[in-house]
Amino acid sequence: MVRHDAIVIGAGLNGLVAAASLARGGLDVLVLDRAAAAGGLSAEYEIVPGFRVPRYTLGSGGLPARIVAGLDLPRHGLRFVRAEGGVSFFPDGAYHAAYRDGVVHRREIARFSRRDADAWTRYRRDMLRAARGLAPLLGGPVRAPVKGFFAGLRARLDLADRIAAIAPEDLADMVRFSTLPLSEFLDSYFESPVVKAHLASAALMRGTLGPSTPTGAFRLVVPWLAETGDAMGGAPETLLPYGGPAALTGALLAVIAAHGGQVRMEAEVTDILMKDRKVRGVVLANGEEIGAGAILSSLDVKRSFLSLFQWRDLPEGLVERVGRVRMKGVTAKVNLALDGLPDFPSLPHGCPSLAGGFRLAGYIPQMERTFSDWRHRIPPRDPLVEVLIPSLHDATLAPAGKQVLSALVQFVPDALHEGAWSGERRDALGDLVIARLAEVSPGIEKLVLAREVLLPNDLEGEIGLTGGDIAYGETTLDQMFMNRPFPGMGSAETPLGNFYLCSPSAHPGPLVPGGAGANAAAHLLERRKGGR
Amino acid sequence: MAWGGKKYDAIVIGGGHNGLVAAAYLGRAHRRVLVVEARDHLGGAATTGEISPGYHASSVAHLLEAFPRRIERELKLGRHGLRYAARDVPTIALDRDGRHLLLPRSRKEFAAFSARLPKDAAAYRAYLARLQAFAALLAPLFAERPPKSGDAEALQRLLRRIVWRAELSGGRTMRRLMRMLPESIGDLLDADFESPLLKGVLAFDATLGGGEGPYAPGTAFRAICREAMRMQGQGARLPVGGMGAVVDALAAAVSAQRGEIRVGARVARIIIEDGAVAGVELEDGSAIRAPLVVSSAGPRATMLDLLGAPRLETGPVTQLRSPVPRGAVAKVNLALEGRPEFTGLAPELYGARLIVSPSLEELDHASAVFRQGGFASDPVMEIIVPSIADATLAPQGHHVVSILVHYTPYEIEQGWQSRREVFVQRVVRALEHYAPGIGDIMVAGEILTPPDIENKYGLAGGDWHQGDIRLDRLFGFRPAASFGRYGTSVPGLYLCGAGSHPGGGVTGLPGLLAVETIIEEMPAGKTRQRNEEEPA
Repeated sequence: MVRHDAIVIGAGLNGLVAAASLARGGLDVLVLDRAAAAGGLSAEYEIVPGFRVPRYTLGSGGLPARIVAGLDLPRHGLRFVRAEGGVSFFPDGAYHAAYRDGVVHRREIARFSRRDADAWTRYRRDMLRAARGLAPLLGGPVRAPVKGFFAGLRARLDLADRIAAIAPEDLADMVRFSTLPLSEFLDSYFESPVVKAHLASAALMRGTLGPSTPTGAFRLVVPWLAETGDAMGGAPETLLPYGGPAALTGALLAVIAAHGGQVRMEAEVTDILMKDRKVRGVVLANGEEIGAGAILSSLDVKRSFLSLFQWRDLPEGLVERVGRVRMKGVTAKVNLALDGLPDFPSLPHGCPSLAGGFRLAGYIPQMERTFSDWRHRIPPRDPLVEVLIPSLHDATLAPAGKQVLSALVQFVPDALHEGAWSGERRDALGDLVIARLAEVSPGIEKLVLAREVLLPNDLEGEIGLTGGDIAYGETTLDQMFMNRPFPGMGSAETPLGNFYLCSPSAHPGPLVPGGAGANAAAHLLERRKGGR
Repeated sequence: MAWGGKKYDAIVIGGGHNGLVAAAYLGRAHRRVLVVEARDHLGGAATTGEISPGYHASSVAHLLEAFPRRIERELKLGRHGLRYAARDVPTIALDRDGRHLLLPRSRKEFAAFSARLPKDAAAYRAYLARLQAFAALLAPLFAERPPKSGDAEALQRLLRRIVWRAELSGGRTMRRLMRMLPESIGDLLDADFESPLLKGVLAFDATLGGGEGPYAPGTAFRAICREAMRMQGQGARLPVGGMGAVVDALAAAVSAQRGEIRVGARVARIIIEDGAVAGVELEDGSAIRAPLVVSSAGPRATMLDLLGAPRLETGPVTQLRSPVPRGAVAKVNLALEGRPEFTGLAPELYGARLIVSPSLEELDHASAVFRQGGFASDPVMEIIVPSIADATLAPQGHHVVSILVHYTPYEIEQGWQSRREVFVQRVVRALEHYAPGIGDIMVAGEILTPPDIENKYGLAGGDWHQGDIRLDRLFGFRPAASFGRYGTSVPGLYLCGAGSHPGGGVTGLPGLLAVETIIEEMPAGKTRQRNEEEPA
């Protein structure tokens, strides 16, 4: 039986980050994936020949600087486009653009409220402070629970002391962030419905909380996590990999290859071999067995435990705990091939913010209704849509003069209260999104050459993601940090020897792209260094 | 000018139970106290009202769940006339098909419970044990003053104490508690239980009083808080004569300490001289002087209306303005010329706390309708027939029914004026299902929507918790970070109502803890001295 130091299951972003880190750390790594092309969720595909978009993800977002630098990705050809922060369009014709430059951004807000323009400075300061506060938590592994009575007690008393030492205003802010609904949090800064809806819609995307759900304020900080805080004073920038997510995948594959790692596509792992509660290898669909010193799974937590193992091999209670992890589909993807550049007459000509994408937002009460529909498993009547036109800044993605449009539709239930997602309903969702687009870009419907609508259960069927949940497990606070993927695990190390979870089901979840992969690799490398 | 020529050491604004507790404790500390109440009767939300001649019921709050023995003993409320008609009132989940579920209090009741729900029995025992362990951890915090904002040493002492206590109940307690803080009660119950009825009643208790549905994050923590508050009391009790009896006993306690009470005296503003409190001015223009003013009115009303926003810094004003308190409970009181007959319920249990909350789905649905400004067609509610245990409430053989209707919005589509009838009909129709024929023996009734509760009993927004139970509005953050310890930015002005720690419910704790703060910060000599310096 061939043996590798480490096998990574799944060639998505986190799997490749983990594999690249391990390869650079000197390990002999093999990546296995059942798909034909690497990339996982953000694998690129052609809607029709010549029009390329990421199939399941929007296509924006980068990797944290520490991972980019740590893997030396720029040397392997990775570049990022730094775009402005995006635009929100409203049904009544209003729009709100976000700018990195503080003066420009405040002037934009002042169109709606002078008071809000002043409040922006306070809001930005508080967001950056919160993001900085979260950085140590998100930037590395959660510390494993300390074992032993006295050590545990000491750790908890230390924590109590650290909390007591926090300045009272900061403590109040922390509590507000982790308990308030985001609408109430925004109310304490802003008065303009436009300004509030612009910020709320960005925070609601990809989450399972509504505008008035407690603890939702926490998500407002997400766009600020990657912000370096260089003193522009405006909205956080949007990072776009040049060449799309495929370029990111390509650079990671190049690192793996450069350090002697191997990637095998169309190699589905069906079973994991165990001995004495430790994993020792994998079995492929064709019956081939491959040995491994360690196995890292970038599948979601349910697939990782419930479909790769014989349940009788798992420690008692694990199946139940994994079963309780909440995974719910919340987004659909609509991909369009366009015959030309759509026009946005309400925007000033050449508005640079468009490059960062746009949202069809609606005001907060509308988002609340849409959220409520989703909770009751009704197809969205008024969806929240986030759109990126990646061909705007990368001409290679579409034939000359043509464009591709990538849209993420928020609050699409994975299963319906009545009936099922039939072909008709799928078409209706596509029609609805195009109709909404046509409200801000009249005539766009005539530019559509081809379209594809991918529902949560398509994600589940095509790539095996449970529930079609692109967050790999709900990101509510009871499933984050030390409770991710479930209480008692709380790190990349699993209860099974030499088996690691490197998907966003593990800490830090989807909040830090590639973070889970980097964490798992760091754990394994440290273990080996420790000679255990 | 001192009113009536008398001089007072302290004025208490508001004659609700917290105001009276504060006044009685100030009297115990040898302060001459005057209580001024705007309405013509005492009690605030803790009163007994007459539904129609001869029929009495607790107007708003209807069960004593967290009233501390300490207050009862120290203020000698028993000697002042407080008696109980029922102690340890049981809770029963009413079932649509008549298979009602008694939440067990004894070994015998637990055996019956296990026989009925064999799969859930062990889980229920574990759930209660966990809830009680967490609540026991927090309960002491509800019985004492939160540490002063900025006092890192006091906060450290407090947190270290929690850690030690958690350690004694097992090393994993702390971690489990941390997980439960942001969890929803619905998710938690779904993971452990099968019976929809059991889940429904447990989630009812965790959500009552707030507008959040059972699947809203933070509702599991509400269950812990509620349990911790219950631990302050002596079990669910019904006072003889309804809630008004508690207030009568408290008023007697105030008088026994030579305190004075004036009803029908509405305060127009708090008088400030040289940056400190000097007394209050009533709406009739008269002024009453005292170096100490303790307000049991809502924090917003006290600080923004009676004191005035210009006297405050912007930060505290913003904190007080949002969120606007909004009640989510309506009260329905009915007078019956006969005894209601509940299908499937043993008559000895007619005096129990009866909960209509058949499942998490229905509770969730009711909250969803509530959030859109409506009320559910099948109301979720808490029913008590207090006259079963307390014959003083209604004529011989007659009864009164007291109902809390959960998830009733303050503002309603089409307005309460036009929807009132429908609301009552739905409540009565739901009652008819469990007690057929109850409509035929109904002789009178009253309904108090959240706006009614606001107007009639002076609770802002009709919110009887005066600010929901949320982590950002508890302890030192209640009612707002700047007023987290009863004192305010104005020397001599204190808050002592449900808006202050530990919050709503008939507990008297905010009143008691406010006085503890006052005694510490303004020793008796100080208030006396300043009083005597004034010209006669």
